[in-house]
Amino acid sequence: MTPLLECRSVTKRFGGLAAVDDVSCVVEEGSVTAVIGPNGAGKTTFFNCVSSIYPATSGEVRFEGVDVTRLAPHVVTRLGIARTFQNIRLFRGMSALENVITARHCRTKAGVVASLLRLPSQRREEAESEAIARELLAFVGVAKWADSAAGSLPYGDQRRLEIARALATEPSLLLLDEPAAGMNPRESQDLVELIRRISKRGLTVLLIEHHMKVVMGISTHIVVLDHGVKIADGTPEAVRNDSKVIEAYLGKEDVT
Amino acid sequence: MRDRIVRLLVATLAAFLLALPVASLRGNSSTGFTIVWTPAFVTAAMVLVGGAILFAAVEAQRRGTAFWDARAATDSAVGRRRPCAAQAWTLGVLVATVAALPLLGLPGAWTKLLLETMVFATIAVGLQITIGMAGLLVLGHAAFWAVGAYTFGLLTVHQGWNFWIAFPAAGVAAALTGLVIGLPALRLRGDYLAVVTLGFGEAVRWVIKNEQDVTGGDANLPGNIVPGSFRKPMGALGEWLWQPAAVDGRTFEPGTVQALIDRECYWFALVLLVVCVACVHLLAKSRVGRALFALREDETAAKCMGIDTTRVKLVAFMASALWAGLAGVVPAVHRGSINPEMFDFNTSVLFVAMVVLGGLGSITGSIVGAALLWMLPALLANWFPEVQEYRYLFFGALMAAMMVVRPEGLFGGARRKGAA
Repeated sequence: MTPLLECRSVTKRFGGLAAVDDVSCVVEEGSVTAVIGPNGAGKTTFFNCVSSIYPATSGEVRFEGVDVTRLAPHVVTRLGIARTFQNIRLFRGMSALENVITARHCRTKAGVVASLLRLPSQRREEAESEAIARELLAFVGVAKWADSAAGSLPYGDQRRLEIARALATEPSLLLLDEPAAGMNPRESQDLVELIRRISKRGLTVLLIEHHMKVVMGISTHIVVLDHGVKIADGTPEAVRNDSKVIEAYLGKEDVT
Repeated sequence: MRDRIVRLLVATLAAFLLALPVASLRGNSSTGFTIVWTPAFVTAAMVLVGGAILFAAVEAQRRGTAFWDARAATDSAVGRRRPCAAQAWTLGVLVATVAALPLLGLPGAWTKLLLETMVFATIAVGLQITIGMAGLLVLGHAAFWAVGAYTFGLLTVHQGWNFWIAFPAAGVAAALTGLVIGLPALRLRGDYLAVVTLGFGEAVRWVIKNEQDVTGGDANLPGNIVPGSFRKPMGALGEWLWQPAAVDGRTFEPGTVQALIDRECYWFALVLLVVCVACVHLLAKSRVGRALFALREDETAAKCMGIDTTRVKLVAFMASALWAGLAGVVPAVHRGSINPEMFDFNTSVLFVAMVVLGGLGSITGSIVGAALLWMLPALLANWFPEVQEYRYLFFGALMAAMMVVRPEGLFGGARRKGAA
């Protein structure tokens, strides 16, 4: 069976710097895979390559067996990869509900003419989008903010709203870039719960995370990057005991 | 609290300035805009001001915001929705009142001024699509207006096309021009895009100036081409051909034919504006409109939400240019002549100023912005000829004051970068 996402020797260079260097990994369908690593390890760059914000310099990203390496980001989204951002990138001036409805763009098709004439098909589509959006807002727990400007939401809820927005594109693979960043322990516990529920919906989750509690709590598979290179790849237990990982995080053991 | 008082003052000032020209509709077209109170106009003015206040009050009620909060009367990106029944009726009465003004004996000078204002309002509302919604700064919008006006003029004069065929053709020509300028501009953002569109605007004007054989150059279109038929009143709009002001040595007698033409063009411009507002409002609420707002808010995020930003930008350019092109027909018909200097850089800047003053993303704001920036100078120049020389100073001060007091524009939403 082909894995949902397969990266083969993905490399991204910025001038002389290889931010991601020859990373190969697979994400199995239905898994919750975590990408961890110290700051500057190239985790977000790796995400940007997968979601095609910028294409990999070399290597290949295959999603459901299709080469998506050089496709435009919106095409990748349509194929079923959605993401959130490390620095929240909501449409701040739009309401929370509008944010989520906007993400329905690639699953809807009403054009300018249909919208101006308010054709029945367009009205039906709008009503459907709104229903889905409200359901998603409730799913992530920010329903009470539906009509508020996204930029005015509390920090944690903005992160949740971003997840709802990503879910609205009907992805099969969800990329979460540090979803628990800046959250207190209680909030991150809620987030773990939310990711579990997303996983139960049948989505595959790939996340970058620093909170070890979150990572160990939910991931079924972990990929460790350091200086752009993959240094370990395996189950949480295996990774936890990997000497290279310990070294990357804590420094070399001084045995004298 | 202080913030609210400032807003109250600004809103009151805006309402006052709006009411001023309306309340003073009486004058002799030969001497300009004088103020004489007549029952009909006082009533009309009261209906207009009252209607506007009622609309804002209902909107405030629906949003649960304070009445004097100027945002209450707006339709910015957040929570744009359909007008309720009360608002729809109010809008209907407002439009009907404006439409009835010429029948109440509106003097020629006022008809012309309001007509021009409606043309500018149409263009400003159309420009909201690129600047206000998609966040693409366009500094050469007058070029699209010129393309519309000249397409219409050339088709009717040189080709003898029927008005109703040439009119949409003007819009299509402008939209296609929008597509052509949009393609190379796609990769540019912000300042760079502004510079490219600025250059494009000037290029169009110079093409018109230089291609004298076709456009008449600096002299007015159509040079010496005179169609055989006399310009006909509204009843025969189908045969309505564009024509210079003097035909066969005859000139229009003031108050008769010119008044008819004023009136027809006035209603035509009003209908155009209403249709434009309806279209832009529906567009803003639609899937494409949300994509445009998303583009303005965060282009990268928009891409990752599955929005084809290239395509959406082109739609914005074309839609925006379309309205400028259609609006170009009105001055061509009304003035009976067009020349390249009408479409210079200052005009483009004026359009942007209307949009910014009114508030990004707000349709109401664009109309108010157009009214303020077009009517006020004309009226001031007429009433106080001695201050005319200072009008740019006045506008500079007004814009500077706006940027300090309400950077989001009169009717813009409370969108500020970095607002928590």
